[in-house]
Amino acid sequence: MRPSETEPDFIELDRVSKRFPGSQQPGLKPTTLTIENGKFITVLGSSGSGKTTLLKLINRLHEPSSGEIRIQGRNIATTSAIELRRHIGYVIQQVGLFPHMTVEQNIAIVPEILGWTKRQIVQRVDELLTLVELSPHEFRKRYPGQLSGGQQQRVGLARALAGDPSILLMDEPFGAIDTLTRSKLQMELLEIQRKLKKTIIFVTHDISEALKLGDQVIVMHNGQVQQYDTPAKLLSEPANEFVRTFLDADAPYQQLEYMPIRHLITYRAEEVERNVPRIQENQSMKDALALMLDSPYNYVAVEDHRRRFLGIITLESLKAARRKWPTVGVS
Amino acid sequence: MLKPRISQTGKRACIFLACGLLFYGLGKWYLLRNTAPADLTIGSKNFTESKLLGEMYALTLEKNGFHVSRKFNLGGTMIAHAALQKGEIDLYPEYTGTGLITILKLSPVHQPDIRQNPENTLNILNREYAKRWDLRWLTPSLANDSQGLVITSATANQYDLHTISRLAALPNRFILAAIPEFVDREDGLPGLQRTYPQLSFTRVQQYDNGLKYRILLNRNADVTVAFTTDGALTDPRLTLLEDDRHFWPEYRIAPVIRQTILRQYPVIEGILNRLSAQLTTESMRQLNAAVDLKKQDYQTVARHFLKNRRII
Amino acid sequence: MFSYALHHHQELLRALIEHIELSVTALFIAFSIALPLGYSLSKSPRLSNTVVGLFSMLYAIPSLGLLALLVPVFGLGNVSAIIALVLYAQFILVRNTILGFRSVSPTMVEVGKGMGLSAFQLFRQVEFPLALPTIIGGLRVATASTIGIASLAAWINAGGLGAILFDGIYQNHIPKMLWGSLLITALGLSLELMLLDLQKSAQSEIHTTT
Repeated sequence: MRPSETEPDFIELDRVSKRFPGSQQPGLKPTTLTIENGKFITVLGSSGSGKTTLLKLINRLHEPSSGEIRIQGRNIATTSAIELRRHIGYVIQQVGLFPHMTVEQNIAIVPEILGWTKRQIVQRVDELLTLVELSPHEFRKRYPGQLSGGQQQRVGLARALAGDPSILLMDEPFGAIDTLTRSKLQMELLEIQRKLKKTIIFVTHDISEALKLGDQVIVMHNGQVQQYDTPAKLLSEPANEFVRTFLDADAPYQQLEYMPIRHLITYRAEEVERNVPRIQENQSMKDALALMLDSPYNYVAVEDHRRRFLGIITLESLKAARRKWPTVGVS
Repeated sequence: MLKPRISQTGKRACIFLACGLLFYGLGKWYLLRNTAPADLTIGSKNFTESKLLGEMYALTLEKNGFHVSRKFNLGGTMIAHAALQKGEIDLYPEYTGTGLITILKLSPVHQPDIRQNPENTLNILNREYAKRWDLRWLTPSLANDSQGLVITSATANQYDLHTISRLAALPNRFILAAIPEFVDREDGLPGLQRTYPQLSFTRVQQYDNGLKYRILLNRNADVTVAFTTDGALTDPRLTLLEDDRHFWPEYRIAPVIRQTILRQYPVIEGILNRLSAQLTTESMRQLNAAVDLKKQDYQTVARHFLKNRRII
Repeated sequence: MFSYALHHHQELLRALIEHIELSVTALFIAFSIALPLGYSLSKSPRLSNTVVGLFSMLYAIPSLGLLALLVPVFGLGNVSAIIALVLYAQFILVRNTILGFRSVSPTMVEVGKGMGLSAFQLFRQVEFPLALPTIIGGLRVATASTIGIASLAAWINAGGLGAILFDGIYQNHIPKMLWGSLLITALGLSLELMLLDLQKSAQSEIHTTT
């Protein structure tokens, strides 16, 4: 029933290109890359860079003009596109919840099509609503029209995960959300990824979002992949002039600004003293440094989006990170 | 719990559908229960006299044991004729003059022998009808429902106007209230104007047959077209102009019937001929008056007439 | 007034049944054509304008004129009447069907496709329910107009309440005129109310907040 979670599930693009003759839509130049199982990949670029085109080739909303896409070694063009999409989660910026269905009914769509039993589906709905931090009892029977933007996107995410796909495609999902809620949602997404280990491909034009969330980032421009690397490598070793200027990689503390601290956390069970400055896990090294400058401590406490204590980051770890810059974030 | 198979709207639609079907089914059942299958279908055109005749034919045949279905109110001569040809009706009341001029398109002006000898009319009718459509004209009655022009008696007195020639000669401008088919038929305005060359009207307006006398009496028109058996002609306020040049031929009433039915039930001929013998121009006028002026319904009037003449 | 109805209830009932048969048959056929036609046309804006334009020209032809054109080909009676009624209804039904499906936001369709809904599933679960209120709105107008035009069917021997009405006019017979009009109105009104209820129900199921 549910796809096995132990099979390696990577995505290969083999000289894939896409042309839109006579149309405004951005094309894709021949591209070859591999996406590893369980990784969070962000695709970064401005409008017209071809990032959405790349995304839509994976669930065959676009068909490639040339080349082959393989998932788990199988060419996706050989099986039915509809069957493929039922096993890939898809989240878009406008969310697109069906207004004539309740939250529950929206989420249940793919499982129903896949033939799950009613009991399995009900259980799954509860599971997913809890995962996206919406109380099932309260939200199950609500209609999308009664939800805020942030709540809608949470349901959108739950709906995309309903069929337990191994791959999740997200097209600027937080673009229409206010900054505060966006920050929260980003952290929640990270936590969900920690739990579920899905392969996520996340398209965005926001540099800080791309670097903060991605294990690896695909930087795109004019339909071509400029660089495909960890955030650290992008900042310290930009592959070409475009990447350098786009990320403003040379600015002295730019790297500090963009680098998330989560790779540097020393996790601790016991709480620290009350006076130790605290920051959130999705904040940057620059924020950590700034706090330390103004305090007698040379470490800060890190908490998650629910304000639970996770661990600490020391000045030493920051300095060490600077020294071994390009390898930060590579597991 | 989850998505129900049929939406709420769908359920309501089904309820409405069920109610509708129930109503329709009941109505249909009630109608069918009260109608035995018909032996033959009688038609009529859509004016009083035709329906009276149709009803009389029907009642007479019913009295003689036939199951009759009625298809009255056909929209005109050509429609009735087409229905007869197709077998949608088996029999309907027609006029000899109409058969000749409108259906066979033989103008009396070109067939002088018809005018002289009315018997020739019947021969020609039966010969052509049998040859072309396997139809038959039964014996015509004496009742002659010809056409004519009618004015108010006031106008007649004002202009000393009693014949159509005089009307044609008058320099005044008159408005004609025409009825359906009159402006097109050979035996209507075109033919009339050939016989009375100076006849012309300042304006010709088309009205339904049921409205024409009201229009005339309301002074909205000066002249209208009459059927000589119109019930309204019993009203002293109206004057029928004399057709002094004898433009109009006879229009005697007769049933036209499909030969197929006649061969199947030959008795019909005798039955209807006996009925036709009872009809005169004057009696038709009275019958029409009962319906049009005294507002009785035609079924009742027909029945009374037949009872009085002991046909039923 | 009432004695007429009493004595002639069978005639009135027959005319009513005939009128229902004509109108409902025509509407059923018209809708069966308009729904798939409207759905496919809604995907192509240029084609929809052409087709709707064509039907609007048909709609502009006076009813008796259209009947007169059909009779020589299809004969008197129900067939010609129903063909005429179906053709008239197309203009309204097709136009509203197209409108209804176009009103479904493309986001819904994209997301539906992306989730792996087949074309039929997408239609039945997403597009149709969302387009339904507008479609029923069109059906309401088409029903009213069909019942009205069906009154003319009496002219070509297709029966119906028009026969009673016109009889009354020719004979200057008030009860017939009144009963003819009354029954036509009653028929139209009851169908209108039912469809209105369905339209409201379909609209409320979409649960848009004000």
